[in-house]
Amino acid sequence: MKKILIVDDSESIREIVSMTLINEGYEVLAGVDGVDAMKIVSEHDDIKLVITDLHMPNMDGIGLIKELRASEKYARIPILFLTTETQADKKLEARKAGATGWIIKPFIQKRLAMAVKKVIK
Amino acid sequence: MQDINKIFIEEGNELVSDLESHLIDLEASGVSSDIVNGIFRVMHSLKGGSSMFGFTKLDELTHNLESIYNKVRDDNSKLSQPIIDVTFKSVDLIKELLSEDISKSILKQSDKLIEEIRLVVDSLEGVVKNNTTKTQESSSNTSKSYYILFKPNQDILANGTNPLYIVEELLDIAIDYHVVARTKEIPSLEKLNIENSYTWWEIVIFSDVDREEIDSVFMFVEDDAKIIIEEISDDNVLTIPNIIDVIDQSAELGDYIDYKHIFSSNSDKKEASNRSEQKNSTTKKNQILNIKVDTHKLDNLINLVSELVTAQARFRVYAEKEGNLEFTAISEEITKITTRLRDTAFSITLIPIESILIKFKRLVRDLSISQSKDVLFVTEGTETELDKKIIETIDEPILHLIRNSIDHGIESAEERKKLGKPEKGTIKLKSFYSGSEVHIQISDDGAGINLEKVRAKAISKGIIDKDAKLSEKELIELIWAPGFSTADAVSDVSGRGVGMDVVKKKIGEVRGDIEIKTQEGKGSTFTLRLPLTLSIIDGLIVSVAKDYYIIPLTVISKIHRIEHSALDQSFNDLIVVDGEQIPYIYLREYFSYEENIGVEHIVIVEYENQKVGIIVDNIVAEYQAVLKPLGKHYKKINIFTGASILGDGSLALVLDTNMIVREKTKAIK
Repeated sequence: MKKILIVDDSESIREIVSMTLINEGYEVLAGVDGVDAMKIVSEHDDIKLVITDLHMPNMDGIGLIKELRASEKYARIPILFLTTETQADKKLEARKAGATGWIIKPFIQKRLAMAVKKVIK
Repeated sequence: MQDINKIFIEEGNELVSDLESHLIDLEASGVSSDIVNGIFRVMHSLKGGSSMFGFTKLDELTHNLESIYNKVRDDNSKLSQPIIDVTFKSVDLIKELLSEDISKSILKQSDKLIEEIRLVVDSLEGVVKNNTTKTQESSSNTSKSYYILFKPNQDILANGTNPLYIVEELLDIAIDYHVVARTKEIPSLEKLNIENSYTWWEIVIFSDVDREEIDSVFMFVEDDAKIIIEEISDDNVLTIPNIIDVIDQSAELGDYIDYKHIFSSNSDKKEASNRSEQKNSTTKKNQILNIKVDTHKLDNLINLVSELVTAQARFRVYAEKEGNLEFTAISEEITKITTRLRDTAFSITLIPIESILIKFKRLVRDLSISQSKDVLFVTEGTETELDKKIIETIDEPILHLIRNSIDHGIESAEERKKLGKPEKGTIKLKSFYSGSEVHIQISDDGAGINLEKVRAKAISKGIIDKDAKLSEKELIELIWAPGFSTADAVSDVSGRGVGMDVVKKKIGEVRGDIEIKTQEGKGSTFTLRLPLTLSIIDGLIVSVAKDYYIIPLTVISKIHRIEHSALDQSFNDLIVVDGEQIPYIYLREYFSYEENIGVEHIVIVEYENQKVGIIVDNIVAEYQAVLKPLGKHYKKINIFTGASILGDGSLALVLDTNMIVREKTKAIK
């Protein structure tokens, strides 16, 4: 089973994403912010995709994306970020940081699954 | 789901607590970016979650607040009193809205606050617009063909994108597809950077999905790739016959497929092929796409291929000497491939005779009219291919032969009727392969050649004595004699004085030959025998001392072994062979070798009915020689037509026997 890491400070979001992806046959790991995410990443070699919110305490989504891209292990891992439609500037920043794609909030489960399928290794 | 709602409500309440504490700080210590960021994050999370989990009113309420604080984050000074006011007001309402049961009065109050917030938003400069609901264009679910270009930037792999996934996703939504992968930008191994992506794709698909869905395939890579998606047809263009070949050929011609031309003209192509099918049923040709190639490039290619063949031949000799099994096996494989390569390369220089037919048809038509003769022109085997250079040289001779047929061969309609022949005369051009030659026959069902007239004419032109006794064959051959066919009544098209002797000469120039067969009253047939290609000669290797020379087989009439003493008995450079006195050239002398005391041979070659003997040491072997020019420094040495490299790597010069004959016979006269 392919491993996906979801990073969001909102528990409800983490829940809904996990539920959706487990349903699709993936294994889901969850982190609460960027720092947490990097810790999980260091413990697992076989994560296939990272989904992250942009606004989180400690290390936000942009920071996480940059960290991942700079890492050796996960430099080219697909990264999707969660964003609301109105945040055009953040979107650009995230992409510049090296994100692969995005999911717009609110999203229906089907859309999340599609986006994942699009990019996952 | 209910559990998730509960989780969200709990979360929401925590967020509200955060909000309250930020607001207290704000009152206490004034604006700071920490506070503003903090409030933003609260609004952001609340909005995100509420929209996800169906807390619509909360979504509405927090939506603009989020936008406001996003703006304020960039410029804290924007935090005006009105903003602070509405923020305070929102706290209680948010608490209320974080519930699964919301009273009408709360909803009403929320609407009021939402209005207030809207006013604040408007007064705030450069506020991000509201969500505009995307108007979905009602898309009809018809299928279409599209041309798609997907050219990812080289660094696209850096953001975790795999271009192949995108291509695959595209093909998944297609009913039918053809992909051309462009790999020419992939550098050599040393220069290859594995972190780059060098490939791009041109894809033709036939699909019934909405254009939107096709666009969405590229959603994440819009900025990282060159993307063209163009509708080309309402039909599946991939079912057009041969279209895949057309696409692939277009792909080979340029950097991009010329889809605009290929697919716009395809309705025309369908019509055109229908028309041509009705026209001519004798040739079963498929539609071939032609490419114009600079003949220098072609010559280069042929040259290289020939050198490869030579090198391969030497390699093979060596392999056989070595006797190593594996080595021999490899050598044989290379031989096979090289042979095929050579055949293919040479076939590129071949074009079908059909290509010059139009001139002939035109001539027949014009002459029929001007001479009031009814002539039918029939062709057979016109797909036979010849070296382009040969075709270019023989088209005039053939024209002349056809002209002759109509002028002198085919009788008038009346006469033909009297003779019991069909009123329509027929001229037939038939072409076929015979061994390593191409034969082109031009025959007519006219009057044939009147040998008496020939004799009379030859006498009157001083070509033969009036008492001369000539066989039928010899009489016919007089036609080729220079001066014979300078026409008295010059027909309008042959005004240039192109005689039969020129016809024969031209054919000789391409190392061909021509024969006449004729029957008085019935008709004549001219048969041209031509080599398949000028670059290869079927030759005879002869040796003089340690050197090799090649004499083209087609000109050789006889070979005799001679004794050196016969040369001593020669007189006037004439030697007697078979009771005949013929001029000769003694290569050892000519090329200043030492005298030979051993065996010698004489190779008798012919040109324009003249014979000359070439005296060499030994006859070595027959050989299919690839003719290579000597180069500009040797242009003046006209005794050689070129050189060839033999299987063992040694060089053989190819003798221009025509030139030798001309020189020698001139000298004697």
